[in-house]
Amino acid sequence: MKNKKTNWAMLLLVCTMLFLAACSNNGGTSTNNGDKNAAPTPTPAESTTKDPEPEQITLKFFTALADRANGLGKVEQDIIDQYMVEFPNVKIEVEALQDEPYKAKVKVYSSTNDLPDIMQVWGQPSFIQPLLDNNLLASLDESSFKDLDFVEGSFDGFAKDGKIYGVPRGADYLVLYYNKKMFADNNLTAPTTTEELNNVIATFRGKNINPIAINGMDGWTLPIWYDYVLQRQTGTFDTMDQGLRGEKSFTDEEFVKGAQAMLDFANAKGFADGYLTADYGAARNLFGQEQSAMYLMGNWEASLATDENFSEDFRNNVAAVPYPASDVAPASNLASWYGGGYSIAENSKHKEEASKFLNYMFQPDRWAKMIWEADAGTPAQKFEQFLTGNETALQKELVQIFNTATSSSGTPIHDSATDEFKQTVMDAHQSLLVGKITPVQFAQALEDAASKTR
Amino acid sequence: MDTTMRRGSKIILFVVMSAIALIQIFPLIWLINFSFLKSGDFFGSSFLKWPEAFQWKNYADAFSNGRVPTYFMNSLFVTLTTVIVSAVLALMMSYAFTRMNWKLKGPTMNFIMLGMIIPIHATLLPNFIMFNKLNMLDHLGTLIIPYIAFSIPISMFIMTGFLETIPRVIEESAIIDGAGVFTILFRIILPMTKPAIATVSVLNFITWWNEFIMANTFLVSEDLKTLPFSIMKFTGQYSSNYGAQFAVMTCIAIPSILFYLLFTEQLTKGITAGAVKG
Repeated sequence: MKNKKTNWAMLLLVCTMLFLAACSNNGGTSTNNGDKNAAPTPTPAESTTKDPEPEQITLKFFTALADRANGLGKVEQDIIDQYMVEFPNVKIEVEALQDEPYKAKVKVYSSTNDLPDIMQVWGQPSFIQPLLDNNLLASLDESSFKDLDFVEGSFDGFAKDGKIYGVPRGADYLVLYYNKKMFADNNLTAPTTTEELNNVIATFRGKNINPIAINGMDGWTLPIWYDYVLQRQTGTFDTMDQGLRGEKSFTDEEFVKGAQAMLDFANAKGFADGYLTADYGAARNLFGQEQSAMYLMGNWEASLATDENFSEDFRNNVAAVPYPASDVAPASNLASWYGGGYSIAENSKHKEEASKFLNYMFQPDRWAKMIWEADAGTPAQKFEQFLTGNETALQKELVQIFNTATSSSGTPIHDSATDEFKQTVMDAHQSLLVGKITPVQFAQALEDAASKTR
Repeated sequence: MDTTMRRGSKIILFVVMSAIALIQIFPLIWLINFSFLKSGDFFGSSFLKWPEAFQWKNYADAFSNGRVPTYFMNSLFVTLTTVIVSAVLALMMSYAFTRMNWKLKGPTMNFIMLGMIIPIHATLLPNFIMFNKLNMLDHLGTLIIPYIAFSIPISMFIMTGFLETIPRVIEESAIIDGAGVFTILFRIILPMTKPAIATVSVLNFITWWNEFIMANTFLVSEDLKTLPFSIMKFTGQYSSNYGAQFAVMTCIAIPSILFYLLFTEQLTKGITAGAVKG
């Protein structure tokens, strides 16, 4: 009898929960119109007083910046909100997913030929090539972006047959962060040459301190590092490109020598313990918790100097230097590339409106200024005029590194061909560093992968 | 002598069981502990770090930026609808397959069971195209329908096994008393199959409560998203708010644990009943 009662109570509970859920859900969908993502903005109806004539347009905006409350995602959202206030006839619906889910969904959208009006793209063949080959992206009018101070060459990754299909949003480059205090405590100075780097590592290892934190598990930093190692040996970033194009074979001596140098570096324990099982956050926190002296990572980590998750001591001591020079290559040779950007779908019904929005977004005092002020990275536009002098020391060092660069690597090797190629290249690096394959086999693996894509 | 031995073995049993319980509960403690840490504290040298100051901000972030309340209700609505509808359908179908005789019964049953070997990923694109053509995308229904479809084979598998154990004599006497098919099904079979229903409900609940791939493919609007999307709000391309992610995960874990605890007794009955069949 008692049992029966509890059963009924349970059923009642489930029904109530279901009922409540249904109610709240209806509430949710009926207010679907407002973008409740960010701070409340005036709805179109309220602010249309001056210009009621233009037709109502809805633009779909698809981005891989899932975090809308911090960093780049917030800047993006702020500009969108601002635009909707200024142009009340345009509504921009944002769909934001994280990298991998984003890439998966782009595939779904493209297979139904139904890409959103404006979408994030990466100006790297591994991502953009299939979209271009299937004519899914609209070509943009280059002249309308001419006066926006874009850095020279930043459009290259988004171009095909002399036309541009995307607008770059940021410049990325790989630098060596270090902890000034840890260096000073051990009577060391920041390494400027590869030889000095090796000495620094030996000293730190002698004192049981992790030298360089790196996210070896993610795989993508390793090929960029290989680019650096190879470049410092040969003196030019072209070597890698020649290999990719087939003008050289990856089995040539220089590539093998580069791989051997990486292996030697790893065997000398240049990287933190367990670096091949460390993902992005693990490597970053290792450095931030002052358990490693250096951190090999991109310029987007400028916020290390302001991140309150780490101790004040650390924030005051974090600094950056370019990757150490060699006899044949100065430190101003920078592994840098233009990654993210935006494209407009060929199938979009509102191409003109979409391109108007992009133009608005990239007015120098918007995107470039705002991401600089938000400490969210380096724009692909000139931004010297926005320097206030109040930047953190780290930010200034990063600007200095970027502005004094004399040559640039362009798209990293793993992003230079298909998705499959990318995976093979990243796996090869990891296998080499754990000793599963020799440098010769590593070179052969790259050659095999590259020959498939040529 | 005998009593001390018995007491001794009882103590050993207690110690062993406590150790096992601790191992089982540990991940949960870990999860909750991590949800109170600063993001910068993660991946440190210590395994379980006691927070210097409890970061309630993680939960505040989860609720505001992560939109946990809205997503929670969406998840609850989708999952409970799926669980209830699929339990009712599975019960009715299982009854038809185990008790009734009809043409093509065998092939139909096999056809439905084939559903178990179809991976979700293979259905994403066809479903997307279909929903797109029917203009049904971006609606919670686009989740509920495939969820139910994927629930039915495994639910029926458990349910038919259980129904076989119920003696037919009971139904025969019900028929003599003048009961129709639906009376038999809902007034006699349903109460007896409660353990099996609990089993499939818990299984389905846990599966769909955590589902992400389909939700990611079929949903667009912010207001319709389900709980797993909350975690994503705290991961950028090059940044992660781990504290808030763990806070969200704690919120996600609680209903699953509650659901499991509520039905745990029925659940063991349902599974063992199937096991000792015959």
